[in-house]
Amino acid sequence: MLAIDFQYASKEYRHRTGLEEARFSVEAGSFFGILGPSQSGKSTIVRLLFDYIHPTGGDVLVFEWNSVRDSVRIRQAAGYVPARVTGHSRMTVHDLLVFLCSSAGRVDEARLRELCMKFHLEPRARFDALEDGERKKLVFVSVLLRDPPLLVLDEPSLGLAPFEREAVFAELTRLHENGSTVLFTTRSVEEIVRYCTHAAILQNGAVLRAGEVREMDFLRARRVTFTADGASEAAHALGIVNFQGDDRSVSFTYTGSIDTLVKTLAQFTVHTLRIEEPTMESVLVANRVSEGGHPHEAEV
Amino acid sequence: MKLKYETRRFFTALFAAFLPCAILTAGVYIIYYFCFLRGLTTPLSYWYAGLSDAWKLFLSVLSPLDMGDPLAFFARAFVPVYLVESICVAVTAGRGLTSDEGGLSELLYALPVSRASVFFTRFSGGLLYVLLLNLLLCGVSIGGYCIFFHPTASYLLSYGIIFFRIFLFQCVVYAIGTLYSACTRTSGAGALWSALTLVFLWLLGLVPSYLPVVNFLWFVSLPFYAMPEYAFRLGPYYSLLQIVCLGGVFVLCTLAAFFAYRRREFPTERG
Repeated sequence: MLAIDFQYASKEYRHRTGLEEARFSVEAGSFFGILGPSQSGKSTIVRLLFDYIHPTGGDVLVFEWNSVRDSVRIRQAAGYVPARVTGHSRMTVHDLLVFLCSSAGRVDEARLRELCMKFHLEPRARFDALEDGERKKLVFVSVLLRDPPLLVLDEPSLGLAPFEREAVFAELTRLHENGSTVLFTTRSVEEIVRYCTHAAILQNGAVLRAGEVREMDFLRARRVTFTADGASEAAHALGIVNFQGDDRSVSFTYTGSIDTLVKTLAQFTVHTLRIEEPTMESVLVANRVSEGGHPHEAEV
Repeated sequence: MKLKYETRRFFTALFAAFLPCAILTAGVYIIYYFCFLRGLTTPLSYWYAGLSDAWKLFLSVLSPLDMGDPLAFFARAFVPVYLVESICVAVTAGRGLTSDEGGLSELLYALPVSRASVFFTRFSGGLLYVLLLNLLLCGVSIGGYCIFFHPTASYLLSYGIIFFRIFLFQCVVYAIGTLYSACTRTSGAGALWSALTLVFLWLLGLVPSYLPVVNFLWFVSLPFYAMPEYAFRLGPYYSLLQIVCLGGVFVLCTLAAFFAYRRREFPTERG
């Protein structure tokens, strides 16, 4: 069963394209990540799901409900955590949580206290006094209290401390293991590789790739730079055709295993070696290369 | 709990309008007090008989402006309060649907609540806000009148009916402001357009002075509503044509605002 289905959905803003004929689907029960740089269409996808904005072309279905016509049903079945929680309210954390969960019936006070404690939220604190990360955790807790079958998070790690991010993803992983569908947007390749079963890559409003993470080798694309005697020969030995550099020093995007890299380079006299973790740029370059393009054509 | 959220927004807006009105009202009370203290020679008697000669002369000069009614001169002191109140209504209406947009309403719209219920909750809350403001203003002005001038009951009824007319007019202004709120990208723009509409209607109401053919247009000018002497002399009722005009604008603007709000998108363009 499909939890989410984008059927050639487009969104034109006044001065730019938000999303261009996006066609991908999210299987129910999957942990789906949407990766893309700023202004790539990530938030547009999320906002289309919840009918904050309407598609200018195509359809968006959530559990087979149309995002525009059946938006109330969709919001009943899905929980949403925005990238930033702004605004003013003198309501307390407790009151806001009850407010946000009131649609799901009576709130389980014991669970509310337990989650507040887990995410270091003071139920009596006023919303206005909360910091950005705390506000976000508050909304996250409200979604957990509602326990919907679909969770949608827009850049969940934005504004959170590393340990808070770990706690949020641990909870998401637990929910995914219990059968919930999780969809989140991110700019971190690491989050996609580490947590997701499925992913979509976006750039300039276009979905470049969508599918299973294990099949997306380019997500493991690292920038490798080394100086060695016969550096270009070493690059060729690794199967790299497109690289920058000369016989002394080379730099390239590498999607193979680290073990192969180290063992191949061991055959040469290596002076320096730098392996950078996968970045948005390296992923987009690798994706372009995997599609037969030139690495330097990629724009980030 | 949704009601609690909306109620808080409602009272915040009410307080924001009440505060300047209360300050102006206090000013009017002070003026009344000094008139009473210095003008009336025999307090608690019929007010005009108790006036000093200097005040009688002063009011006789002003009386033609108030259609020969000196009491209307004192009622006129509340005019700035009506005007401020009406501007508050227009501004509140222009911000009504969108003032918390980009803030907590982003969370509100993620809940299984239809746009229709959000719209009608806020719109009916807005009308209640207009009613409460007028009741408060009616209370304090009639109270002040009674304390200082001891008018007759029929006089008070004519005076009180002004607030009913202002209420009906402000309901129409509220509907127009709500339409702006549903159509503009920011709450500030909605508020500005609503206030400008009030000014436009004000000017439109002046047209009959130069063009008697459109004499029926007088009722769209707010200062007219704030002039008690018209209520005293011309009667407090609308003509059928005026009722149709006001009612038509109210219904059309409300419906247009509703449909615009249903199609409204969050204006922020994000990645």
